[in-house]
Amino acid sequence: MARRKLQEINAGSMADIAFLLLIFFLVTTTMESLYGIARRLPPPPDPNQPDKEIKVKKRNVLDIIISRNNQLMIEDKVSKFSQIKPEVTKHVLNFGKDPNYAESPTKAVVNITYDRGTHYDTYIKVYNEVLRAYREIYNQQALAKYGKPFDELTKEQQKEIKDKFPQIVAETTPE
Amino acid sequence: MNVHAQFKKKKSEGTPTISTASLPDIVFMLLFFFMVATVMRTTEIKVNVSLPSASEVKKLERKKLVSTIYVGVPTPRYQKKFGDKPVIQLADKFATVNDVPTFIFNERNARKEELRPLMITSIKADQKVTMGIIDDIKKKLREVNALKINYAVKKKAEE
Repeated sequence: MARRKLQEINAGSMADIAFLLLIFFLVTTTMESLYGIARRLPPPPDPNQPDKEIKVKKRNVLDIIISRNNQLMIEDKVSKFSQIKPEVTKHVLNFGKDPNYAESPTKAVVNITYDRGTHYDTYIKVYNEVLRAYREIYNQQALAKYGKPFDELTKEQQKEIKDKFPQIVAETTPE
Repeated sequence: MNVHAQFKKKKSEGTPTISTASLPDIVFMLLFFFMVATVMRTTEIKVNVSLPSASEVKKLERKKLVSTIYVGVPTPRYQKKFGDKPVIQLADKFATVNDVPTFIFNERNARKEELRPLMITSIKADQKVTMGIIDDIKKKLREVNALKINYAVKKKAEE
């Protein structure tokens, strides 16, 4: 008889306990996922080898300057942020036509110059615009060649396009 | 007659109580979900960081490989001691740019040998910070060969 009494444990409070734990985890959870602009820094200069000046023709470099007052200059002309994307696109897809822009996409360099006083969000904005231009180029190429947007291509196909239009973004700070 | 009986039967029972027997199961299910999804925050963030926004973003998948450098103005609690100029926070301490290499070495030592080349340094900087401080960090990171970096941003839809 005593055994039979033990058989049923009141499970009514189970929900309360579970709720307590649930609320604890709800409060402590940080569900944010990390997003960011990925970048690779150039390797450190080799102390055994003196600086090799990398010579790049002036026409192959698109200069974007952000001043300490967060003003933008593209190729020494005061510009708006919305002009970055068309300028970069024109620069990369010039194929040697216009003598002021790049000779070929593989030679096209985008050089971002910033000041120590430039705001971080302005810099990110400019960088984002440059990346946006490249993504649009990739998408165009992907559609023209494979009839699919860039994100839906295979890894090899993506690499093929990326190798044809490499993102060469250099950064300089005036000392 | 039959219809009438049915009607009567219902009425006599009044409003039926909903069984709560499955409630613990539901709650437990939610509980397990949150337990699995939770990443316990290990570092206390002592600086105010409001991230800039960008559309061309990549998601950082393997959080174990990420070491984070925070840059921003100290939160009001710490402003008396550390001022109201943007500072760097490494792990859970305020630091200067010169502490960055040591921090990176510590982070490397905390991870398995084969994972070390895959490590990413995430720079979580406030949008009002100037590029001077970011540039200093980047120079230090270059010195210690921590070349994979990631500017943490808020994801925004393309306009």
